[in-house]
Amino acid sequence: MELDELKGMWLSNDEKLEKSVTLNEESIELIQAQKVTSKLVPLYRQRVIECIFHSFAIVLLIGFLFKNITEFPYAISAIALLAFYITTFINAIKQINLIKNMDFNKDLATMQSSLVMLQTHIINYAKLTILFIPTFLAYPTILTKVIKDFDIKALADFDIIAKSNGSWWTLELVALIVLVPLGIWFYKEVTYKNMDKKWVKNFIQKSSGTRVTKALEFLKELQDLKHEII
Amino acid sequence: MMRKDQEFTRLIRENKRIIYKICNAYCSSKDDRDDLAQEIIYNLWKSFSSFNPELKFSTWMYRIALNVAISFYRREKKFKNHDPISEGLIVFEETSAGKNEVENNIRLLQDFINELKEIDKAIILLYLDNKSHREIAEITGFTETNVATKINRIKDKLRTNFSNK
Repeated sequence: MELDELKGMWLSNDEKLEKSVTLNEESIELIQAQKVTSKLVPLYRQRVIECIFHSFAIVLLIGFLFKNITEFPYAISAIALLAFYITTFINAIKQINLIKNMDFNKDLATMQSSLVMLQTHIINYAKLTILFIPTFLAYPTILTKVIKDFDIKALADFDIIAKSNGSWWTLELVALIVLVPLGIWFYKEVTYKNMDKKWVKNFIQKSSGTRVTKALEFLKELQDLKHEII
Repeated sequence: MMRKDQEFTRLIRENKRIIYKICNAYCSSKDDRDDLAQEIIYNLWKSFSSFNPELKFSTWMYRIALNVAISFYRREKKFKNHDPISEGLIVFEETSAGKNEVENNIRLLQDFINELKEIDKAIILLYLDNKSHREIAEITGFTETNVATKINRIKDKLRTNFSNK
């Protein structure tokens, strides 16, 4: 049977539906009486908390940077961590904007892509964390300096930099040189566009679960349709 | 002059078939259909103040209802923010008369639509409701060319399904 023929039947069935489908108007009044709130309020609050946490870290790191601007290794360590927190802060701000602009009035491709982007927030964090792994060596570096500056006696033994006789700096430098290009490559590879690559799909599935994997596959389908790759 | 809530109820009454068809296409159980109908009407009411009366209500309604249905289908129910209503919003009264061939074909078509991917369901529902390729493109956000290609592919799929029935 041809679809055009079925279309005719489908349209003629509308008359029957008009009679057999009834609307419970009292329930509509109940809906109208309900307070209109956004479904995404809890998610919005989560992202705002993330922003506050990241801005707090940024302020502390800027303070540390200014205090140690002349001590090159410490300044570099602070800058490396600042880069991580600023990136995650921007990521959270983007999500807040996405939530604020969420509107069911938009076309299906735009609206559904925005919803998927919200669902896949966790994978962005996983990607950023891997991208910034080499910079995490900066945590003990900064912590050691803070312990020294504040003369915290109970933690005086923590001075791993002094104990390492300079090899700590070599380790940090090597990690940056080797791992940063790897991190950038990984960040660029793990995207919905590469969902057909087995390792990308496996990584997403293991780090973020089946729901995010399905959401990204759906995003790929939407984007392919939108950009005429069908 | 009609109040906003009365105007909304009138427009929903006039277009209740759209909600019924979408709920049928995206949900297999009655409970899910009731939940989805409520979700759709809630979102339509929430967005009603932004509706431009110069535009066609059914196009606006399709856009919101399909967006809600696809999100619902993709298990986006965790942020439910309104009270559930115990009674069904859209009630279908089945006639006791025996089914004729046309009704059987429509039932079969509905079953085939249920098996399609969520975006394909949206496109075919719009096509069957006599929306032009341009309107479908406006509602879905895809190009007219892509809409036409998609419709042809779905047609082929349905043709095969009907010939295999």
